[in-house]
Amino acid sequence: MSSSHLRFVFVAVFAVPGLALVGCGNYSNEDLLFMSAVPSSQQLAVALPASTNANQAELAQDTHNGINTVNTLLDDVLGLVDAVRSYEPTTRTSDSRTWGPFADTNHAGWQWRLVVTLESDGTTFDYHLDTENTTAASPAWISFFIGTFDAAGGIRQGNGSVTVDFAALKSAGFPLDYKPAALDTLSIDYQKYDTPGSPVSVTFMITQPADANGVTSVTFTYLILTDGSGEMAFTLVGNVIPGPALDTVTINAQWLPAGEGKATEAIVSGDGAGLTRVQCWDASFNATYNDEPWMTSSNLGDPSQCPTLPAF
Amino acid sequence: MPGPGRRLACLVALAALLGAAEARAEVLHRFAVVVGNDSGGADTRPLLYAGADAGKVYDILTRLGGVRTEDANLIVDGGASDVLGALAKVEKQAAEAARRGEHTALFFYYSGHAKDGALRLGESRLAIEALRGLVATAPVDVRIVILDSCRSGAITRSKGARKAPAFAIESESPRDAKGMVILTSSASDEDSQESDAIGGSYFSHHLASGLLGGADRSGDGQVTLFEAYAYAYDRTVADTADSAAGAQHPTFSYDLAGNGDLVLTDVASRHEGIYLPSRAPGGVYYLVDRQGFVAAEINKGDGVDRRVALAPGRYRVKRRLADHLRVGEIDVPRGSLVTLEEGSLHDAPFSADPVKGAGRYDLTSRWSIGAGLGYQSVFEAPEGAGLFPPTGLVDIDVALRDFLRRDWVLGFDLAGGSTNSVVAAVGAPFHFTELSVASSLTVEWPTRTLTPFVGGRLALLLMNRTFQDNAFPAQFYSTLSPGVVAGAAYHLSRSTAVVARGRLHYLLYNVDGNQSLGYWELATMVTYEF
Repeated sequence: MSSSHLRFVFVAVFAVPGLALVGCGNYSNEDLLFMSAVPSSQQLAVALPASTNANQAELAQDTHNGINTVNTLLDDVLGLVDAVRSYEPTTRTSDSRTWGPFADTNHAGWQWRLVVTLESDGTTFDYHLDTENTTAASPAWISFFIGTFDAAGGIRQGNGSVTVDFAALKSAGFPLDYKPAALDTLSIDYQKYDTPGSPVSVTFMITQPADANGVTSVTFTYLILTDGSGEMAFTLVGNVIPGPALDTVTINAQWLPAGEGKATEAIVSGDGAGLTRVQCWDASFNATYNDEPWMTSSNLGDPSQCPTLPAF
Repeated sequence: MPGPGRRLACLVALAALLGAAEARAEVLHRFAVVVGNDSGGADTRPLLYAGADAGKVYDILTRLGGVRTEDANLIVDGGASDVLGALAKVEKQAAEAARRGEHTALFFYYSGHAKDGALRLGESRLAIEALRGLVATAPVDVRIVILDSCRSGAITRSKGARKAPAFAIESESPRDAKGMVILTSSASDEDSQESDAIGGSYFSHHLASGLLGGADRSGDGQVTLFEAYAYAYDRTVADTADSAAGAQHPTFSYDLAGNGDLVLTDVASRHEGIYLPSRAPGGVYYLVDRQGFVAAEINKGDGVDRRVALAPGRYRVKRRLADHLRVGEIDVPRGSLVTLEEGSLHDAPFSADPVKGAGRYDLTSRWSIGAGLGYQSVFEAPEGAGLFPPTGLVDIDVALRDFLRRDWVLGFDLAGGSTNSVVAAVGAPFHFTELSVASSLTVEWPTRTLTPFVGGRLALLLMNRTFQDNAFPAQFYSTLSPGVVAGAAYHLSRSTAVVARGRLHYLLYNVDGNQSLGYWELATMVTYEF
């Protein structure tokens, strides 16, 4: 190749790319804002160290059970949103982001999409996760996961709510093949605070067809602190107190990051209505104190053996 | 005023008379002030090789001319005050030497612009008469002044300025020039010319070649003042006879009462360089350095030998015949005088001329590489600095000089860096990495010490960020970014330079709608030129 040809090649290499001045990618801060409007399962999950203690304190066991119920549902529902959101938005407009539609690889013929919209007030995000049966005669999107977030104080704080309509999914014929199949709805209200160490407060309510005990709804309210401590209150219905009546009890548990905690069980109705039990446990979840009015033989220790808990 | 040809005849006769007595290698304490300046101020056109010529003469004087480095002063691109300061320093040193009873000599060399009776040193002036007076009254026994300058510019990058009165260096009334020799590169009505092919001015080039041994007509291994002048005169006139600016005739003014010829360089005692034996064919030998410049141009006669006291290194050799070249290569190890055998040369066409300026595009383009550190910052990125955070970069550059045309540089660079930052709006820490691949085209203005440059650049940017705990999916962005670049290279040596440069780029960002952003970069690096 002659030197003149070489020079031409150099000029071409240098100049031609300039004619195609474009940018591409998914590098976006605004995407992050839209993504942050939808809570992740990690944001709302409750953290209490797991226990392998077969003889753990009874109310610690109840607390663990309540937490497992919440976290499992969060994983099932928000985990789906997390998976969709792990992709870059498919469509961007000035006031919305849309992910999908994506084919449901586990359920042939179904597809998903997530739409997050910024309302005209400039601070309220609405979102919905939809599914569609593409094989239906008249395919239509079913919004079964609907939420809103008020970011008036910034995306890092504010009030949000989510409603998951499992009944709508089931009625549309979606093959719900995991735990939520037994539920009708899940409602989550939460509040985030943009202050280090401040909690996320959550109200988590499940509705379902009446179970064997006639229970149609269960509510969990809890606080999550960034250091790992927390508080959870929930209601149980069952034969808790010896006697013929079905008892309704509320449990209010608090714990520290290492796991040690304290729970108060109040009998709302039933055989022991009006009675209150207090139980404390250590980081191994062994009971250190138990004051059980309806079974004094199980009483243990004294209140000084309870952990010092902050005012939540 | 006698014509230059007649003057030369007189000089040759004088040299012959004086040469009858063997030139003495006087025990002289020699001092030197060597000045080069490519710039002559606003009304002149910059020269290319004045600084390089001064460096060459300085090297010869300190290596072969008996001038100790502590007695030698090299001023490149300095002003009049620098020159006066160096002269004052030398005067003080010479006065001390004289008090010790030493015989002393001052060698003053200047290459650069001259106009209106003054040397033009950048924006400063040094009147010729004032300089002459200073040298004439310096407390030394022998004064040698060489001025490579002229009064007017012309077509072939002539030295000097536009129309102005000539200054008459060669004196008709030497009453004030006792013990002084003055050489000038051209006559009073002529331009002094530079040549790209030899990488210097004709006069200084041939003077230097002569001092390296080419002028040793007597073959005694010493180059005297007359020998050097006669050689420089012949070769300068021959080379410029056909130039557009016309022939250039060096001048000579001599007033060394009581002295014979003066030895300027001793090429035999060093025993280092190239030896052209008497059996080698006569003709002009070009000894070309690695940069493609003619380090020495030796006009060797048939049956005579020549020592050329070149510095150690590898040289290409060219001898021009009527219809082809004889070329070859020779290594000069330190402390060795290497004989150039005709058998080591081979025939080559004129297109393979190794001399810079001949077949430039094929033979004189030079590659260089560089590495350094930089810093990049995007102007007013959306959502603050959380989009493209300021980043430190490691740069690797490759450049090709004089390929498209002289002093144009094609550059290719690769840079990468990373940093940590936070998207403040969502409180998301992330790790940012960037890689850029770019080409650039710059124009540079090389001088001996500093080479400024400016040009354009087109970069392909590849940017990526990953979020802590994978709170968000990784994001990337790529785009082509045009910009401008400017900077300067400070030459530490002939091959090595320190470069400081700045870049200003346009950055198209089109993920969240089309936005025109920009960024700046600062970098410093070390480059090596092959």
